[in-house]
Amino acid sequence: MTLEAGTILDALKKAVIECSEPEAVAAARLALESGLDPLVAIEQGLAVGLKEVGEAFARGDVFLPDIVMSGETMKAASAILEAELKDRPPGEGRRVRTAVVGTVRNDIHDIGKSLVALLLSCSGWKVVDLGTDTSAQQFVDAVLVSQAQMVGLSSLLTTTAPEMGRTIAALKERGLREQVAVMVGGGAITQTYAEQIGADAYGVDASDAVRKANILVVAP
Amino acid sequence: MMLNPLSQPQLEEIHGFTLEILQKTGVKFEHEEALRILGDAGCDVDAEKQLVRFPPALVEECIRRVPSSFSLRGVERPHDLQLGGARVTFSSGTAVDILDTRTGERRAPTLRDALDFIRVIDGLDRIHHIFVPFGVLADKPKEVAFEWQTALTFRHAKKSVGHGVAFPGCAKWQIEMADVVGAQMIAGAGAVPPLSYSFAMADAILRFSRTKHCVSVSQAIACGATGPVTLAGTLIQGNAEIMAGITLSQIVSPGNPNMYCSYTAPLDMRTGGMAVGAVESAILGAAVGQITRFYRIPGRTLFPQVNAMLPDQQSGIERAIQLIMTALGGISIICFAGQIDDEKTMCFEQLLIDHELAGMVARVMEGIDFSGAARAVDLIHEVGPVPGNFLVKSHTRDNWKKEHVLPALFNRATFEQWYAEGAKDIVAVARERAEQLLAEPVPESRLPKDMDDELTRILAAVEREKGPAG
Repeated sequence: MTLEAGTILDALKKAVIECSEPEAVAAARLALESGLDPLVAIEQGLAVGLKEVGEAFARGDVFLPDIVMSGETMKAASAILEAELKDRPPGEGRRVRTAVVGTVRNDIHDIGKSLVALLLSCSGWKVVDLGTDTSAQQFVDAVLVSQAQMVGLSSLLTTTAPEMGRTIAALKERGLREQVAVMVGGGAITQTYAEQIGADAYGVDASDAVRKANILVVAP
Repeated sequence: MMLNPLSQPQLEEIHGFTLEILQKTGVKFEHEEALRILGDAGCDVDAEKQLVRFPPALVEECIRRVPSSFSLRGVERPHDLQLGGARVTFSSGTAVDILDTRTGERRAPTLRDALDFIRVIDGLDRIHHIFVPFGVLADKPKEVAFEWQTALTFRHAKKSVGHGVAFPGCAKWQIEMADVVGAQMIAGAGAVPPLSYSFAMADAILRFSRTKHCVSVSQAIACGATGPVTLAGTLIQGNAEIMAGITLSQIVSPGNPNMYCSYTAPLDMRTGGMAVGAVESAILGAAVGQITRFYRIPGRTLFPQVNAMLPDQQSGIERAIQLIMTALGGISIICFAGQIDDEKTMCFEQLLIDHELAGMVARVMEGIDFSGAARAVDLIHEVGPVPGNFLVKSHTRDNWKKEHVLPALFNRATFEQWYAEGAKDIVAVARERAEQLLAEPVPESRLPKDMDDELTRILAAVEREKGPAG
């Protein structure tokens, strides 16, 4: 690695840690101009910065707004770098874990689920967010299309919690249950309930969900 | 006594920015009929985006239509609920689990637990209203838990104005049951922040407004996630959300009772959980109360809430600060008694402690009587310096009950008395009292047989339509 490449990677990392989108974007452009491999720029620059922020968050040194803004900064710079990766043959692009998340049918509560989606992105996941009031079939379809390794189901209401069990059954029926880990969470959910319906994990809150997701599906 | 955290110009700014947000950015309604109704009333509707932009004059006209005070019919006439004006009333809360008084375990509640809560609350004179106690019951299909508890409340409680819920498929049955017993409900329907109404919530507004039940329109912002992190921004966005719902309600049912309801807490920036016990919720409670007085629309809160897991010091401090601030703000009905751990657990010990707290707060609200008799200047002249004694004067005997509230539960004994009686903390005292109340025989249904039979028929129809638990 040339000294210049090292300097650019440091700049990418620092921009993510400091949530500075203009600096991240400038460093990404510089990376491309100086012929640095975009994949290296993402994985050894931006992602390293985000990982440090994630570790500081786990220690309680930084807070949700910090990690979310670091994620946004990384997204902006990644967009520039990933545009250069489009034409690479499959398998040579960035390898990421994919999660499908959504609030189950008849439930429109959004906060917890959206936070999990944000934190998963920050933790390096590709996230397919199906929004709220999502049917079992929509979850199944999304897993098929995205080839996700994890499904996150959210329900605040006690009346809609049984939909989680139905979604797990639908994944089984389509033969997808073995390929995805299922995480559940939300106001109406407890560890016992998660075990009863055959989920792999229960996320107490957004941070806990991401911690458990990273154990269930190890980064490539 | 009232607390005014906002100035008059600030209240007017909240109103002005609300009209601006409703007109410029608008509110999403995921409900075709609601979009049509709002369009017909003069709103600018983008059907594809389901977005409604409100003309300020329409919003202001609808706000004017909301009655400033009203009475909701209870199952029994003396227990009609008066809302609006300076009086604060208290309601029980609602939750998922129960903290079992006998075993100390947290577990799923049964129909019998729901009945126990309903009959105990009905006997507490400082709690005026009963909320459906639980979300699900261990011994009933999940889909019919609300209807079963609504029927239980109507059957066993004197002070039951029902509580409607905006869950899919619930409203129509609750309305049928309320019709049978002739009670009016407070139906909760809330915006999904930011600036949206789901199908179920918009549907509940239409259904309950048309059947002349009181529609309580709520904002439920998580400050920093679904609304601004700042308290001022939260109040403005929340006001816009509530006024959009009230406008819809008043278009379909002009002059029908509405309540202005707040259900707002900061996001905990360490976990992403809701910091319901936060002191910011207390400041918001006072400010929302003041806003409801500004609009002359009776206010309701589903706070205080706590993050505490037990009826411990944390629970006591979190709820007491929120309760006193919210009441002093001028909220008309405060729904809170008995709930701990967010809205996740109901607890008899907490319910009895909350009954005590409600009595204290109601006394605070009465403030200071400064009439001639209360000033007692002649008496002060008469009794004069030591060894004067006011206890021997009839003025004391005539007035003390108006001035002092006695605790129903809290301890005022000396150390020796307290020690001799077992040296119990207040939770243990509350537990003993709860055990006494629960040991009393369960009363039969209070309803005449024909009404009771009708509720049985409706419950059978609910179960036929919704089927067994999935």
